[in-house]
Amino acid sequence: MTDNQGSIVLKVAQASNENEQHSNDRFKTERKITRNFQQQLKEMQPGIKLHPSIYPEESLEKALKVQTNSGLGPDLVIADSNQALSLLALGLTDPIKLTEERQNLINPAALERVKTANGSLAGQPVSQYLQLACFDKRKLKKAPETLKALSEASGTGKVFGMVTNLQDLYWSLGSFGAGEALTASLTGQKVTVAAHERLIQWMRWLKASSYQQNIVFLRNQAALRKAFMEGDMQWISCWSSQLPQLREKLKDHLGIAPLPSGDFGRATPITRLQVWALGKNSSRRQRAESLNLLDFMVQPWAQKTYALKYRTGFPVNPAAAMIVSKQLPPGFSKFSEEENKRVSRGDAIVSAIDAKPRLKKGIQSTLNELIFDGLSPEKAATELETQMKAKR
Amino acid sequence: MTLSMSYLITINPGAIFNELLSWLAYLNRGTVLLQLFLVGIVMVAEQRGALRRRVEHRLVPEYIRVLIGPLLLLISSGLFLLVGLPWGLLRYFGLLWLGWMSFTPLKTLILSINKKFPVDELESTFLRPVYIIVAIMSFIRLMGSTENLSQTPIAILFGVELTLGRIYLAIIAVYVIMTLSSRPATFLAWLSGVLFGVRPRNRRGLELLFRYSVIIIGIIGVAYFIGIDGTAFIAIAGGLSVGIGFGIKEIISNFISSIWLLFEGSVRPGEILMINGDPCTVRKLGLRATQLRRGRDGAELLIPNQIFFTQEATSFTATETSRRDSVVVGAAYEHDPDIIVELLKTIAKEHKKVLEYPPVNAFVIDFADSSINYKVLFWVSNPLEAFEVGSDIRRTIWKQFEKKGITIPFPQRQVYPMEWPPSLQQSLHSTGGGGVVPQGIQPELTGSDEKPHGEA
Repeated sequence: MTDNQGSIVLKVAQASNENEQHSNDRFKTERKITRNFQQQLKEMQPGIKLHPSIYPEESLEKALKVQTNSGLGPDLVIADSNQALSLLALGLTDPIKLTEERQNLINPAALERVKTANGSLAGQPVSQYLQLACFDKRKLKKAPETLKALSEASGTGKVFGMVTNLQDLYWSLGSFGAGEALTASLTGQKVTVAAHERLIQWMRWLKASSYQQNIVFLRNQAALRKAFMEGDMQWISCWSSQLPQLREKLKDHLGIAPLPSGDFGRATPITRLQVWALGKNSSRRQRAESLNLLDFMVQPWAQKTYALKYRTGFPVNPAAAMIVSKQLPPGFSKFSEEENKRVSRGDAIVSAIDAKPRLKKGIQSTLNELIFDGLSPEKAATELETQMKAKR
Repeated sequence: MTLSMSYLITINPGAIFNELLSWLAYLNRGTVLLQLFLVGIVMVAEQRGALRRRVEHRLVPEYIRVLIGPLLLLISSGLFLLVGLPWGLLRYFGLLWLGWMSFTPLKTLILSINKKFPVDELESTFLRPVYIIVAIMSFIRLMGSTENLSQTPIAILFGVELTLGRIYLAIIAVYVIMTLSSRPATFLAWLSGVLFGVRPRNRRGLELLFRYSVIIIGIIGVAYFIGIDGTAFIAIAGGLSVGIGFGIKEIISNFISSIWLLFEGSVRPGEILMINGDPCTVRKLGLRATQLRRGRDGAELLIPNQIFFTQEATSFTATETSRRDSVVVGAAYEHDPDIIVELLKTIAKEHKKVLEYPPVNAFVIDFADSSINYKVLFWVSNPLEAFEVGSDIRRTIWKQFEKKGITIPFPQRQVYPMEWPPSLQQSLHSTGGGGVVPQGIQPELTGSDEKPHGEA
């Protein structure tokens, strides 16, 4: 439908980033950002009128299936890389063909993550969300840079919060070099003794942390954020996509830092790609305008402007990333092309686990038993490896 | 407390218009247009009866033939699926239509199992509303994100942001409370009857009271659910007090009267009241008016509750239900009043519906022009039967008097023509014989003459 000015309405289905939050105002912050983005885009692309609908991540596939079957599917779908791949596999989106010129605008690691087995692209990466440490500057002058410093700070009455699921804890695996054992298990290879030992060490750290009074493990990110915003915690692991909520509450007192490193190495935070995919039902004009918009979104200007404006994601355009990295908060600025490659192993592991709900549930239960019950780190490590090998 | 209008309510339907406008974007797509076109064609054909005429067969009843249209849509959606075209809209409209048309066969089926089942009530209060709610939800799901739309703020009421979802849920909740409140109320009334020995007649009043309580508690609950808190209620109360003073005084007055009357127990369902001299049964005590049934002609009367509250009313059932009625009869002067009085008492006593206590009594009430008048007084247990009992007693009196040779005198009028000027014979007759009508005085053209019944 075109309006008087000849602009075209593009329906956009957006998977929510606030997935763990089951409350009445679940999408409040996202709606605000989306509305703002709509306004911004109107100035730059007067011919396109975006109409975004936010869906809970878990129900996106089902909703898109019903709509696409009816010819009422969206023109664009915004999801993370895993979901974009699964939507393409289900036939709910069309693969995207990017010219070489356009591909050069996007960092190769990000493109790799949306590539299917046959080489087609499930969507176009537009931004990436990082895992960071968020802290209250009033209570904590400086975020701990190492796990040791974290442990010491918790001894001085500062409360640290983490989430018990593997995706949110994965950053700490890097500090122990424990990711190798998981990668080997997942690919069915034999885990070396050294790698197994490092996994045990990570689990020992988890267990030891759970015994500490001031290190608190909660079951989801929403509960963690709530506790942080209410002042019950002074440091939490957080996602860049969720920063607007925290900024709104803590204003200038919100501190952002990279996650702490360990004796073995630096933390390996997970990144989540924001991928824009093409819906199946668009008319010819809607498709053409969608492709125009996709092109616009990866140009350095748009990448730079939106990254700096919303400060929730890191650009996928390497040129834009260079420009903005100095202006973004510390947690972001440390992120780079090289970093992207370094953490990609974690992304692969997490996405592989995400794709198998039973495996995900099994791993979660092992971690819960380790942290909250009496399961020993040694047993937990073996159990985790077995679960990942079985891939069930 | 002063409140600005913007605090009370601000409506911003822009988001909904935007959403609705965005739905029009789908009309850009050929596959959507094709499906809608097909739906349109089938519906028009069905409307004109073209589909049903083709299957004109005595063995296929009407309620099966109306399913042809929706089934056609479902079949075509299957065909679309086979050729790889989007088919969901056809299926949606097909199912929606099929569901709507299935009410009649469903009702027929239920009635064939249980003839007394209140299917019409079930259909209008439950099936159709639920169907509409589900249809709306599934339509929105088809067009976009229900979660997204439900969180669209459209109004601010008492400083609380009302989203579309909350308003929708609130409307459903209020409907459910209004419709279903009678069930728990009936149960509570029954329970009070069992536990505290409340009489069945009083239970109906109690039931109504419980029902209002459930509705009020439910509506307050819904208000809290949508986020309107105590402060807002104070604001509502402030607004209402002004409203009550001006516009809705009568409504509130009637409502309060109904509550008061229920507590007082004077106008409960089942009560018998005299309205303008006619006994009427109270059928229902509503929020605004009381519904009564007039015994005389079965007319339904709707009388505002405050009438009962502010004006006097005669009740036959306030403390006890029995009513005294009387029959007046005249007997000729020649009969002994003692015999007549005894006879009247016996007649009344022998009627089945006349109560033994208070006893029947009969009195001589008047020495009238042509008869001695008697009145027999009797009591009946059901005030609505007094009229019928009176009639029975009058009939029995006539028969008994006839049998015993007791005459009921009554004035009789004889009409005969007169000549003018009157002949001498006529003049003599009209003056009672021998009388002379003075010259210049004209007698009436008609005359009357009263004679006792016995001489007639």
